[in-house]
Amino acid sequence: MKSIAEHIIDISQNSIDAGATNIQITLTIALNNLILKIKDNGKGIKQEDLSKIEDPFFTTKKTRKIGLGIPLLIHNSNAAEGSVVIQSEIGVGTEITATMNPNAIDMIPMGNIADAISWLISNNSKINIQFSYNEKESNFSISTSEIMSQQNELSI
Amino acid sequence: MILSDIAHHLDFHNFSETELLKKDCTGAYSSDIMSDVLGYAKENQLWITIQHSNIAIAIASSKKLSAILLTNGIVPTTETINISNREKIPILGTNLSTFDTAGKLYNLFTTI
Repeated sequence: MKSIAEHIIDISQNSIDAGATNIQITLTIALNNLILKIKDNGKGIKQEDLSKIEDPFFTTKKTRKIGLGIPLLIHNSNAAEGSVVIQSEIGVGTEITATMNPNAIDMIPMGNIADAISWLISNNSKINIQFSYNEKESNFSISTSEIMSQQNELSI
Repeated sequence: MILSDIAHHLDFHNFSETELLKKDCTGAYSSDIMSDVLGYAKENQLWITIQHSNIAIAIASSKKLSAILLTNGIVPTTETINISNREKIPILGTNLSTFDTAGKLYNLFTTI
């Protein structure tokens, strides 16, 4: 993954695969601190698997033996002087928080966040995708349910 | 070319099991960006890089690369070496820079 936008899509895909009906994506940018938080109400991750997730050779997918999404997010976060925290509870959901220093030399590009969010919302009409962006005094948020309530019968 | 011949000609050190150098190698790809290698490296190529983490082994394994060649005198950890043996992706090493290494490998591949 080369950008924050691609990580958002990748981690959200994990949530979708876990059966989430609600995915909350928050991107907060302060001076030396970027926080990306993705929280879902999917089936959750077993406690004994939580530490294994960082291992690129651990995956619950049946078709391949390598799961690179989270290891790459950890790799990119570490390179940007940050880290990743994963909290999860079976039957409740999972929350992944990645922090980075946007001024670090090896910080990855943001990528096209707007495209990523609009792609997620358009391609997952049965899931409520909530996105909020906070930078200094400006805040922006959008969600599937907000769009639905304004559209009445029109489809996403 | 067989990896053991390449390692012998260019004096590369092998961190992994000797058996693994019997693999064939059809060329090389040089990159330090994981997603770039995922997108462009080809099967049986030697990956020239300074990336020495377990993710690099995972990527090499998923792309069926021949081996990983660490430049600038980088030494992998014991854990990474064990994983390289398990995944059958040998890790070679050299003190040369990536530029010098790529140049010598290119010459080797194009003159033999």
